[in-house]
Amino acid sequence: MKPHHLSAISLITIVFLLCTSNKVVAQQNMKDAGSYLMYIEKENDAISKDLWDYTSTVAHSKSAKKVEIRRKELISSVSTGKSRIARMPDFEGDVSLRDSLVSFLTLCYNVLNQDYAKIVDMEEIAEQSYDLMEAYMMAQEKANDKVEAANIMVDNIYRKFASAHNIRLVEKQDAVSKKLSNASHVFKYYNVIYLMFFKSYKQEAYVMEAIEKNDLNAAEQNRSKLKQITDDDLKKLDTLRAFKSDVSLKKACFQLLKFYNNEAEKIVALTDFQIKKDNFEKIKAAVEAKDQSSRTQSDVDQYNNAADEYKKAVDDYNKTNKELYANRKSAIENWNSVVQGFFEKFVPRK
Amino acid sequence: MQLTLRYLIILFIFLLLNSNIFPQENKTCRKVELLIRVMEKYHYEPANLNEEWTSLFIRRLLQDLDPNSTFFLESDYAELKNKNKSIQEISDDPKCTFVSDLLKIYKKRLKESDSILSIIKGNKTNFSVKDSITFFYDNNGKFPKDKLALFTKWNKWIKYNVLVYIFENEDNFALNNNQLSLKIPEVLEKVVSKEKNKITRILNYPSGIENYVSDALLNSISIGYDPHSAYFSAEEKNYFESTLSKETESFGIEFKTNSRGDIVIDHLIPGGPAWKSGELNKGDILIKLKWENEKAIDLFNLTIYDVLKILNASNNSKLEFSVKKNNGKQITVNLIKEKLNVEENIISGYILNGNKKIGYISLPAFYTELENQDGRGCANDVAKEIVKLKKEKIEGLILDLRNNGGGSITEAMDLAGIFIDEGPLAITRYKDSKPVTLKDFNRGTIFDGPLLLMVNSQSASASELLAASLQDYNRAIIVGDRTFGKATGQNILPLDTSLITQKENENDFVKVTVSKLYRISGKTCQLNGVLPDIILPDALSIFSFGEAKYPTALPSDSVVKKVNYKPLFPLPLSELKYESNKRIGLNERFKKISLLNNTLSKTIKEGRTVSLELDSYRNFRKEIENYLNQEDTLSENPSTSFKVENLILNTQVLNYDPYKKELDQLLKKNIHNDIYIDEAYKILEDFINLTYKKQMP
Repeated sequence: MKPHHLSAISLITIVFLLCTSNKVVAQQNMKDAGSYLMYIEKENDAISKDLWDYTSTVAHSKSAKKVEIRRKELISSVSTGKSRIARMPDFEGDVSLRDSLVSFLTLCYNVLNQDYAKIVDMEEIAEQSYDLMEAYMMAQEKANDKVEAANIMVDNIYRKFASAHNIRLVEKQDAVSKKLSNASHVFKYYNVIYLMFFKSYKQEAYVMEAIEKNDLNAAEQNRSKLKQITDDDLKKLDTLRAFKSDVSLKKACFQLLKFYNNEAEKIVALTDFQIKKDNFEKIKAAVEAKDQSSRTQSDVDQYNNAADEYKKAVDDYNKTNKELYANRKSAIENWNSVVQGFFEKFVPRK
Repeated sequence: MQLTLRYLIILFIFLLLNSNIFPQENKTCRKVELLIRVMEKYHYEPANLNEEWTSLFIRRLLQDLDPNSTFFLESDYAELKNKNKSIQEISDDPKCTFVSDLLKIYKKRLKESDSILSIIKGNKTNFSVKDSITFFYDNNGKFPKDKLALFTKWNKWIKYNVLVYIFENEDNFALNNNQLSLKIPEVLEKVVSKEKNKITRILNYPSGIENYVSDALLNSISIGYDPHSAYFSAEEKNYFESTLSKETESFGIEFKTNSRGDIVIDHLIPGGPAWKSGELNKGDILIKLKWENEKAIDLFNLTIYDVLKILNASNNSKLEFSVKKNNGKQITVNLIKEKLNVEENIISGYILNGNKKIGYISLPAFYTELENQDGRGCANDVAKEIVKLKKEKIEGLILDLRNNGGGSITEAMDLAGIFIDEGPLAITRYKDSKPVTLKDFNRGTIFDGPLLLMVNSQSASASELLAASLQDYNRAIIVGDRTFGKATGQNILPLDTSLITQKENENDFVKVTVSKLYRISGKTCQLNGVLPDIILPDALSIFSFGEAKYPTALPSDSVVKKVNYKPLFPLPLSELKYESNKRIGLNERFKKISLLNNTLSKTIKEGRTVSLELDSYRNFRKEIENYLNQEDTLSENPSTSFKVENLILNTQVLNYDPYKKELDQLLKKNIHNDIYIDEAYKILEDFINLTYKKQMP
């Protein structure tokens, strides 16, 4: 019943950025400068190829092991590309393009390795976040921002270099670049919806964990938050456009958020049960402490009444639990199959 | 080879034995050395142990051994001070001369005082001559300059106590001077023997006067670092732990003896009978105990051990506790012993039902799940009551933290989380470490409606931190008096860490201040406390019981730490304050409290001189009795704004237990008669009306 595609998502977004400005150099007079750029592009092509392998695997494979192998390959490819570019000589004393590419690839390498401490201020992240998952996502988001900014910077330096040496850049996409570019739009759309789902999914986990620990304080607080998050995201989802006329992902997420929203209301039965259980145990202890002879009819009636209430709370609890389990299972199964179909439709296999 | 082994064994045995053959003085100096080592290593701000510190320590120690300054002479202090310039020298001295000198002087002075008391008892004490005694609130701790001054001091003290004792009995006010004179010899005998007994108890302390002095000395050193650091001997710790075993039935009270020899409530066990009564508080002085259908026992002349014997006399009858509260009022409470591991909620919510339906929860301490056998801390118990209150559709909530002396900071932060979505709540800093943010880790709230927090000068530590957090977020209206001002955290550590292989109960313990606490702004409540948004006149405030009163309190400072928090919209405090002040100005009881505060502040500044003549003293006592009687009449004036109701779920339980029902009735009556709760209700009512008005189109 676990939803898939939990990790890897933003990695793709990040490395796509490397390939968004895929250019072909049209050589004119400056032969050496052209070769210089061609060399760089060759490295870029190698990385792009591995990136596509990785992207396609993430979109279609159900095997985490396969995804991990592709990720490692991509990391190694980035690392090789980085070393090769680092070994390039300067161009007539100009090292700006080479060095900015090396910094950019180092950044990508760290992001792929999820080594966020080298990219963002983790102390600051820890200060702002309330659990590890939030800290992780926040670090990822901040790292993505940095990669995006660095990418723009590299692109500018690249263009400046070409222009300084009278090289005309022609925007042209080969098959891999084209596929990567398309997939980037698919994942960008998917990420927006996925994050909405993931927030509620995680929030529900906190509620369940607290109920399991009998921590009514945490359970009730997290329950109210689940209600608030799903209320907000249902509104946001409503205004989100379809992807190329496809509303399947939006619909599946809507169904899931509706489930969580409804759960946030129904789950009161679980906390109610805790309170009624406490109450019944107190009454039971008080009745047992009394001599049988001194128990009045009213005592007996009230005791029976409390016992009935407790029994009803138990029944409600079980019924709610069963119902929630079934609904959750179907909503998540639906989400998983819709996600699979969505990628099948919009991201080509290798 | 074998021979060597034999010698080694002999040497080893000798060393083991040797550790017990040192005299007590040397043991004390060894402990001083260990204590200073622990303090230097772990204390947040170790003291500069210079000559000035040492002389203050000697003064504090003598005061601790002689709280009324009726044993030592000023020259004793001078002698000890001049001979001992540094605490390090004291602990390094192999003969530990300081302790033997002190013991010699102390024993001599105790015996001299005992002789003085015998002389006073033998003399005819005259209550018709002009004589008076002056009390200073800020005792400078000076001892009499010579024996004549000492004799005069004792004489006045005994006369004063005779008068106090006589007029404790209300019937004696009706007697004329001749009739009273007949009672005096008997009372004098009692008062003198109480004082003589105190001396005897010190001289014949169960584990020896040497241990008595040693404990006082180690405690005086601890307090020299800050008022919340303390030393506990293994003996002291074990004795009190054994009286509070969770298997035996108990009233759930820990006692201690104060500097005047009174038996005082030191701690209430959460959920125990005393806690649940809501009538008893830390600091209450125990006056009398009376088992049901038996004669009352006056505790005037009894030790803490005698009291524990009385408490252990029966297991199933009701015991009437007569205690003197901080404001001088005497109350009686009936309690029945219970096993302390009760499986039930400790906190009870009530509904104040009037124009608005307001929830009311009182929390006397922040207990943790370790203290509560139920396995839950107070935040979870409060959460449960709030869930129940919400089911009954309350429009606002009053959380009463008056007299809440603190406890678990984690619980306080968890409790704040009930009212705050998520975010940083406070900052803590340990010695030589970076400041750390304390956060609400649970997203969401349980109650997001109008909230009011009641505090007073006895709300300390964790309760202040909670008030500060909710104030910084604009989440609650803080009402009452400026809080205590304790923003430090303590850990309990063994005195000697090398004793880990031995039984734990053989080791002494030290409570060490290891951290400081700050508001989200980086400012501290240390010394300053939390200033409420709306101040209500409080009779306790004039005594300024706060942290700033302690000479060794740690200073108030601030930390710089970037925290990300978004306060809520500001509360309409000026409107609420204006309405509240208007009501207070018209309320007879609040007017009386303000008047009393003015008189008392003069007395506190100038000292209080009490006449030791029979007639004058009687008039003086009558005035006090009248005031207290008026207070009683006024306090029997229930609020007309609301009725106090039980929660439906709680009523079911109360119906089974007449004793619990009786306690519950008493609690409801107290809530109903409490003018502070009445005013809090009105403030919250104003707030709800204002918020409602704002929401109107």
